[in-house]
Amino acid sequence: MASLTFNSVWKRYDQVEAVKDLNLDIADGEFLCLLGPSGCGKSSSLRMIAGLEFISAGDILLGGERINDLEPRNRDIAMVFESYALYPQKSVYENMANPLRLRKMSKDEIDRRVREAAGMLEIERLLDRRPSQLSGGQKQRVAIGRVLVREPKAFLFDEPIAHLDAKLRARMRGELKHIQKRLGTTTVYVTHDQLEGMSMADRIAIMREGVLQQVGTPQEVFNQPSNVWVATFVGDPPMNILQGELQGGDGGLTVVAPEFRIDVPTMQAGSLSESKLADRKILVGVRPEALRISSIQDAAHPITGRVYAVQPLGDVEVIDVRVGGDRVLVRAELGTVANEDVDATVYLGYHAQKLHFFDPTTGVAIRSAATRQTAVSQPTI
Amino acid sequence: MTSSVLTQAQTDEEEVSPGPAIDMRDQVVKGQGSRWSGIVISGFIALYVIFTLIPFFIMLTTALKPAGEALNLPATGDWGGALKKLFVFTPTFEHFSSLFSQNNFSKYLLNSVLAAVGSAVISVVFGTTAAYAISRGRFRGKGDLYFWIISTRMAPVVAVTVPLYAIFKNLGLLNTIPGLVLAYTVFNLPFAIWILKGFFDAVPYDIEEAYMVDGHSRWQALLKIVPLVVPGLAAVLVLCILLAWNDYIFAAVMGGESAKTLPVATQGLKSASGIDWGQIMAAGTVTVAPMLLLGIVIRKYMVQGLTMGAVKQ
Repeated sequence: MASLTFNSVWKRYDQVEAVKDLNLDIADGEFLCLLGPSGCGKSSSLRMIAGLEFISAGDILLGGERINDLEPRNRDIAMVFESYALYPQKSVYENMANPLRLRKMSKDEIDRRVREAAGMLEIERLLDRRPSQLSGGQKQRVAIGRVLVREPKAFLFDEPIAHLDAKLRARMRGELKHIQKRLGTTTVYVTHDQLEGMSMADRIAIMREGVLQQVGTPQEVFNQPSNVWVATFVGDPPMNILQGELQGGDGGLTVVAPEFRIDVPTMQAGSLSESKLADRKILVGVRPEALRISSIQDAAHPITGRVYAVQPLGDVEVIDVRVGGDRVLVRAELGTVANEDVDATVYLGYHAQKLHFFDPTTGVAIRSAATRQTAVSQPTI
Repeated sequence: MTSSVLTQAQTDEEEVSPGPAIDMRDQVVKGQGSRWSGIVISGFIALYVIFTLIPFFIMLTTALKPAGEALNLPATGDWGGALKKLFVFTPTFEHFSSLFSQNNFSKYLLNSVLAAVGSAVISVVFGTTAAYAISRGRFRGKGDLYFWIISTRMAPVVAVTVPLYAIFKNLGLLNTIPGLVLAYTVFNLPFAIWILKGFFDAVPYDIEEAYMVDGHSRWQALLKIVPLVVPGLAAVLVLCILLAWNDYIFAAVMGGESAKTLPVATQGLKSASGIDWGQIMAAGTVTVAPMLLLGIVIRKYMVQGLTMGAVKQ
């Protein structure tokens, strides 16, 4: 077990800069999730830790030791691949025993560790099979078993459950988190699925186009996104973004558009009036959970829209409302809007404490001084 | 957030699709389709089999017939006699024994084996390392290098023979087995690299990376995945042996007497006093038989090997 540090790490391929000046500290025993869409540099970052990619510039430290020039085999790191990468000619047992055999461990010790890992993953009865005889979920367990038998300094996971079906994914999220907490091994987990990051990680590092956008606990990233991109990437359904113009008055600041007037809460007003907005344009972010819907127009429901579609999801439903040209999702109790209500005019109200404001030119969140401190980094996008 | 579980319902588990209930091929084989199409197809197949087997049949029977009998023509119009001549004779091994006792064929056979197997083994060994490097490496000019390797196969053998002769002469490689091995390797190696690259491409790189992360060096990781390309290695080995074994031009130009191979030796059986067809056919049989046996032994690997590289994702 060891801490892991990125010091101004760059990764360049021929034309492309895959990772740009990455600085990141991962504490000993921490479960860190590298989250981002495909091509954001998260896999390159992970592969640089494993030694499968050269580091173009900067240093990676493992347990305080610079590992840039170490071969993968000397880094004492275990990795689960997206494709599982099981050894096709070996049995499940031999797949899991392979890393131990190299370490000249006694036969009994190897057997004990393989059986213990197999027990943890409930794959004891598969030990004699070949990978080609396994289902996707079983292969994935064997791949995890192959890293569990070792006691490495860090676990690396590269989208390990991306190819499982939804039900199995949900179950594996819980199991992986349980195993990581039980072993307490430093873990870096790469995924494009924000749900995996939110549900499993101690901290999430969100990347986009090679640039680290924000690092924080799932709650921080969810409640205080550093920019509009992070705000819309984390959370499902995603945060709604409305465009408006900031207007001052006697009662305070208001964001105005033809379809709505949103009063800026006094807590936020200070930082908003300080910020230098071009043409007073501003973006307002509000999560679907922070909106409520009504058929009656009143002061509590100042946003006017039209029902576009309703998606029932068991006990809740997501209502797709068009406000001007924008698409706004509202999360409400099941039965709030009927399927037949398409094109009906509705009025939306919002939870004032849960509004987010962003500068439309830079995308950066505009926050009061109190909340700003908790955000770890605020790069421009 | 729970909704993404519901919306992203994609399944990756293997599903066995039953496929179409009736396949056209089944109908032909089982005779349930058009009876005529079955007959026509069977007829063509039979013709093709006879067409390809007749040369072998004539070669083998002529080799086993006593001298003179093979070219003994029946009387005009005597079809029964002609047919009888094809099948009824007293087999003799005189041609075979004279090949080995008087004509030194044991040495030529050994030369052929050394040249073909030597070149094939060298081609497979270096072909494996080169194909691996081209398949896995990321370096500048990789595409051009690969094309250049293939392009050496585009020149006809005759075009290279003369310059190669001059080079070999200066290096003292003329009339030697190592010289022949080198000449065959010039042509076999690009071929081996070309085919083997396809096989390495078919092995996911992740598997080697997993070995490296597990604690193997890069070389060990390469050796670990070699078993996965064994069908390809077998196919390439056999094809390289075949190409070298069947060569005539190089052996005739550069082999001389001390490195004479079977095809050249067979050609040498023509003498001023006439052509001894019995001996020539016996020599042909000796030349063909080892390759035939090799083909039968390795047939399973060949088919698996040549298709695996093509269809496996």
